[in-house]
Amino acid sequence: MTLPSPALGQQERFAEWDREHGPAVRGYLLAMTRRPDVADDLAQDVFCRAWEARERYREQGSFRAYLLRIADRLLVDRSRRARREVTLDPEDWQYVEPASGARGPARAAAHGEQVRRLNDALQALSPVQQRVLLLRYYGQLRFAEIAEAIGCPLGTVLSHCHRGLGALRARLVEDAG
Amino acid sequence: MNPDRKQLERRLERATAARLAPGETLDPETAALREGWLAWTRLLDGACPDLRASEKGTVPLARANGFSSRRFRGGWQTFVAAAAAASIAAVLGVTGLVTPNRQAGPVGPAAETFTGSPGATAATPAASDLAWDDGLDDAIASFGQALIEARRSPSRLDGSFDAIQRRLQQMEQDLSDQEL
Repeated sequence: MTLPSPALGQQERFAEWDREHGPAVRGYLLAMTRRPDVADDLAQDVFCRAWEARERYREQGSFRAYLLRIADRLLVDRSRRARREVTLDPEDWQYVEPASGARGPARAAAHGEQVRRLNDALQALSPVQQRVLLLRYYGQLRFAEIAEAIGCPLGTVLSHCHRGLGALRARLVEDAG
Repeated sequence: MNPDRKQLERRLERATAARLAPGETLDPETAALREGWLAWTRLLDGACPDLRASEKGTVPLARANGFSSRRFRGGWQTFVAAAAAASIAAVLGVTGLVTPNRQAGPVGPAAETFTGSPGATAATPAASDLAWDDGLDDAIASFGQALIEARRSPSRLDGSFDAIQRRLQQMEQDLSDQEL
């Protein structure tokens, strides 16, 4: 992926970024913070920073990786400020509603159960493991890109990924079975 | 890169791939890792269905363009204040009521700003003799109170704005009736 065509108007260009990468960036931020409001604000900051730096951007790897690297730095900054890696009240996930809106009691209960299990699974991962796996999922980044994004050697990233997957399997597959 | 690491990377890439080629088989260890991955990503998709990695377009453009509700709130208040100030300026400016002879008060600087030409004021003895008027003072105080209310409580903005409008209309009516 490269920067969108400069021939497009600025607004269209920004919208194109959003269409292409908005879900990945927001998904990553939401999974890390578990706060939709915080994720929204951070996602907005990510795009604004990328927009401000668009003239300086030089194509190196994917543009999505670049955005997620910004997102990750903002998260780290926020976490340093707040002195915590993730916050949160598990109930916050409840605010993540599908676009379709209405949901009956049965679906709400199923969603609640999914949220509970997801929180449980995230608890099984260390903060770095979460970052690695979420960047892999939402950004579909290569491990070398993840290593660059979070400032770790590639071997360390692979190790975190391997252990994280093992922990998820133990929590979600073996325990469930 | 050492061969073990290369092998591990390849294994993890397969275990966490978005999709596998049809008919592709995995060795038992990779398959086990992939089980954990798939179980987890299903939960992620279920918890945030709008943010599936393969889907697009979740951040509304208005937000992406810098108009988050948080940021807009301040802008709205500023807009109300500016609109109200402009309305007052228009009302007072059109009627030519405010003069430099008004005593210092809550609208002292504004009186200077909204006055017409000094010559025109001087040519109107009645205006230059205008005494401080408690009615106008009260109206301005009420208007100020409504404006403060709007700033303090954005959620009650509509009500505050109505109050501001009512005050402005009242002031305009009083001015045209020459009650002030």
